[in-house]
Amino acid sequence: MAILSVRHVSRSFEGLVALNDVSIDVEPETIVGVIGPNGAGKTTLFNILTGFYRPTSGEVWFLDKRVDGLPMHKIAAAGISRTFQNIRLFSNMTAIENVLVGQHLHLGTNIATAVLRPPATTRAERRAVEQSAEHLRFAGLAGRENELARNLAYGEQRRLEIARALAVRPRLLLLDEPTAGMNAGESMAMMKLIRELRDDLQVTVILIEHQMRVVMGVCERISVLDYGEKIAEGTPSEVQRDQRVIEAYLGTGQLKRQDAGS
Amino acid sequence: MEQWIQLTIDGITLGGVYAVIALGYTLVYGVLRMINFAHGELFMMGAFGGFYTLDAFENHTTMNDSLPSLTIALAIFAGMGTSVILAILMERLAYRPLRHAPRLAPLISAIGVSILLRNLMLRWTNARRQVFPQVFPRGSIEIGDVNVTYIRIFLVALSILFMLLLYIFIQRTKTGTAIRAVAEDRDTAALMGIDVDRTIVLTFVSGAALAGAAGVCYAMYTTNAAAGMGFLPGIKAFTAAVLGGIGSVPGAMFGGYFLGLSESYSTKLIGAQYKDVVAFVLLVLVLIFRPWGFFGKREDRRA
Repeated sequence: MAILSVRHVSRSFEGLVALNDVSIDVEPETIVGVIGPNGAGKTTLFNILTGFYRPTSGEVWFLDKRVDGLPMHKIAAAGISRTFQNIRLFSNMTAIENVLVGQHLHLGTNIATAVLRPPATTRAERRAVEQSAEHLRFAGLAGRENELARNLAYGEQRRLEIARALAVRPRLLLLDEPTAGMNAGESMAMMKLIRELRDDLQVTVILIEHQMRVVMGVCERISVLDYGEKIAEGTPSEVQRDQRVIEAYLGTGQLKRQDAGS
Repeated sequence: MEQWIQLTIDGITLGGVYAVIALGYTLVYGVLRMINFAHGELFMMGAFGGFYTLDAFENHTTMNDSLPSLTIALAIFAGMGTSVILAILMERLAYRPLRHAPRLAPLISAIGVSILLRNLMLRWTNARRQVFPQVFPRGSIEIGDVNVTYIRIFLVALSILFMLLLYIFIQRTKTGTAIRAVAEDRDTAALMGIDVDRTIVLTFVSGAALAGAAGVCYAMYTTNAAAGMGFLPGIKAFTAAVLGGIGSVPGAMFGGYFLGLSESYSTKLIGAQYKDVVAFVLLVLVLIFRPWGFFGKREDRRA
């Protein structure tokens, strides 16, 4: 039983087809990779899954509910969260405040309880702070709670995005190039974190990734997009042997695609 | 010496009013990157909301004589309610349809709403000033050689109270956190499960509640309400918000007091007739030399 089912989804922008009849099923608690050359439609797919775009046609089902066309906050509440390729933190908030933004929605503090501070509110807030700190610890950011997000190191900001995404208690987490710009050591640590997301928190993970070492190392299933179409799907070793994938990445004959694998 | 103390008290009184109105500009700018030029009219409509409520009661009861504090509270709540309802309508009808239009479109729409409301009230009042019922107890206390009326003390205290409440609201409540998140990054906030449309409405509501309360208090202080009363305080509060750094809550508070005090001192230093000029000279200077204000952030151009 798939947790996420993308059914014949297409999306075009003023005539330009970004996704064309893409169908992907994702089993619960798997780590799935989405790969493909630049412009293949990977981020468009993420934007459709999170409700930032509506598909031009097709359906998205999540936990047996149709979610395409829902407003973003409803999809988030349903249990889909994401990180961004170009990090988008609340840069003027501290690390823990970033996580608390997600947590706060499960609280219910209003102006009366904020002023009068009944014990229940104090307790709930303390719990939210503890839980946020726990998310930060999980993402390897213990001790950095009160640092402004914009002052964190690059790798830490990527981790903070994951911690923040966890605050909305997702069942499905979409990671857009989680190791972009990282060196080998940082990439290894990120791969470990991605496995822990699944193993310890039972979160299903879909990631867009260009570093083949990461994709092959951490993903159990891979879908390959090219020019908006799904050209292959399978385990890492199946995908590596697929003729169409090799062509998409290396080109046929004289034409070599410049951006392949970057 | 006592003259300077008197001017300081004047400045703080006026500054508090500016600050409370300025918060509305800054909050809305924070989430929408738009100046709500009809905000001064929310202030004016709040004053009339209070006025007509008192007017309706005055003929029937003697509540005013027996319970002045209740009457005052009633007037303030009526003013807040009027402004809040108007702000919700304004957002829904004049701004939300233009959410994805070029930035100039909602601005023009705001100016249109401002003109519309002012003229509606001009028509309704036959362009006459309405004398605000004398609900506030007359009288004053002496601080040293300086005479301070009760209403002034009330105004200063109330503006500080409102600012404190707003600060707690923004920093500590669920809605406040949502407002801050939407102000920083609307899409990411939505991704965190925040209902952006609802948050934008609540931002208008918070600003309008403050403007409505300020309108009633200002009308009590000046003892009249008029259709044009929102214009100058509105544009000065806008100046205050820009002075402090538009989008910044502490900035709006600082800007309000700074402007109030500057105006007040200038009546002695330059002459009372130049009082309004001071505000706009300050606005021009800030826009030239420090357009992001005292507390604002330098905004990077976005691609």
